[in-house]
Amino acid sequence: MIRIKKDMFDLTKKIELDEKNYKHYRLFQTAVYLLALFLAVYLFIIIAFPTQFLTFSFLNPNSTKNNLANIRNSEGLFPERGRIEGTKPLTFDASVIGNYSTGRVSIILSKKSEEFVSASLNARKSYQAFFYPEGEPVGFRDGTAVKSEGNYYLVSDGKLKKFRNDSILETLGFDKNYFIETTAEDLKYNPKGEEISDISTYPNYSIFKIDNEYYILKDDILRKFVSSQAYLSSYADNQAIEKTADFLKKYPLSDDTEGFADGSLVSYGDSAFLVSNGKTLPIDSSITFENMGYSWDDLRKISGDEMAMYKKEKLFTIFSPHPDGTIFVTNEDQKYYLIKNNQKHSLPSSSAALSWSKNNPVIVSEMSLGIEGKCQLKKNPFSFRSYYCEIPLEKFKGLYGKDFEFVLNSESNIKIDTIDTSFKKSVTLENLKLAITETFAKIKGNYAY
Amino acid sequence: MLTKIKRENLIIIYKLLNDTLFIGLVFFLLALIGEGLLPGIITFHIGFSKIITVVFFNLAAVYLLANQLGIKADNDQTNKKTAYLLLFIVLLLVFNSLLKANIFFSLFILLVVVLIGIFIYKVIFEEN
Repeated sequence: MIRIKKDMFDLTKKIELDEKNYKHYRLFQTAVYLLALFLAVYLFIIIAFPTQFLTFSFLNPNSTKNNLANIRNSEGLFPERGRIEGTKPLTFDASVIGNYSTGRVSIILSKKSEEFVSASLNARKSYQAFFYPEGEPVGFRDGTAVKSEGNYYLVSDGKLKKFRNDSILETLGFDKNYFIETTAEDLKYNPKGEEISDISTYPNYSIFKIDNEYYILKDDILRKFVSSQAYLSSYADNQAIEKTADFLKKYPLSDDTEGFADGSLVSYGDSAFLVSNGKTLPIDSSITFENMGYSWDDLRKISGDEMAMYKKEKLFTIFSPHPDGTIFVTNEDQKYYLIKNNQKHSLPSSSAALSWSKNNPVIVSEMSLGIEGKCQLKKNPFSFRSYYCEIPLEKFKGLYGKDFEFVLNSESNIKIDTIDTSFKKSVTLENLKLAITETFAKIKGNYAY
Repeated sequence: MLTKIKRENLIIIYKLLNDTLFIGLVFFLLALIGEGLLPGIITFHIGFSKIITVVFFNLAAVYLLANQLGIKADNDQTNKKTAYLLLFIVLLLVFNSLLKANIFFSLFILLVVVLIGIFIYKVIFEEN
């Protein structure tokens, strides 16, 4: 039997009290320790089952506290001062990491706004960029050498240019072995251009290797790649036509250099960057990197010279959409999409996708576009002009992506002051196990070299 | 105001404040260990500044009450086991924060921290 001494757990034993007051002290002490225990349990719950809050204020649209992304009306434009015309939807994206049980959206209307008569909210889950409208399908990238049914082509100025015969192809120095085998079906997305029949000039987007440096012909001007790995981010090593230094006298040389393919992931020092449209976007954390669906294997270490050719853009955070040059692949049927100018363009095949980016594509679920959660907005009884609704998020479990797209449909002319969203995790054994597994995985990742 | 409260009650409050100080320091230590293992796990929800502020006010209240009650700190009361344990945890946290650096550099920094610690202790606590 454990014997408890009278002054056990008394941190101030030497300061004595009479028996009656000592009893009082012990009573209060027990209450204090119980309170501390409740506080510890409460802290454990908020750490293991966190709630993520995201907000946007139309009163302060430029505030750094705004973290709901891509707020747009039916025309795809930002609704100035939160004004939405009746029957036209308002769409916004919320980026959250992890699996949540419920999503709550609160809409706080302006004093000058009409009240909601009937309003509903629809939700989908994927990546922000995968929600982009679908544009025209695209084919192979400029500079890609392809063959089909015995014919040889070079994609030049967006067009598919066929070599008139084998002799022209060989005289120009192209090696038949390095043309990518593809089908006629895959080639139909590049419009047909004129045949390559002149052996005295090279078509645009011909690639050369001179003294171990790579060049590309653009508008009859040679542009040097900043490095071999910049070249290899776009094209295969063996595709370049070997030339001697004399060849540089044949075409003028541009002062501008060619960099990495759009969507490339590079690292300089301890930081990782995304390359897109001639700029680098510094990735704010490894959490963002992983939750964007990127692979660490695609990260290329670059030199100061390579880095210097780019202008640094603003931080790429968990709230940013994937930039131009990103390739998505659907996990169900291996369909490829290229992100360009806020549109997603389908690509005919994996080889076409590979011509745009040598990175592992970001995996998405095609069916995620069709799975929707829905709720009806209710008036908040504790607040004027505030409406809310809750969407269970169970059905989105297992879908790729970290972004929820919400579409607000109402029949009233409304003016919104604030949109608040909160994502909650239910306190369940399953979520607890998940939280513990994730925490251990994070700790392991933190200590991995 | 304190003079109006009975001495026994003040002693009870003083003893309770020592308990809350102990709880606060345990929370702070656990938070430090948690943050050391996984940066952001605690500070994402509750900032260190809040815990430190609470502990600081608690400490100030203990000091004020001790003065009021005429309680003097017993210098011989230092619990060596606890002190060594805390010192070990502090060194682990310092080493942990340098884990991404070169191992020899980390050990060198650790050695420097220990030496500085010893000299500061000698300057402050040792009599001439």
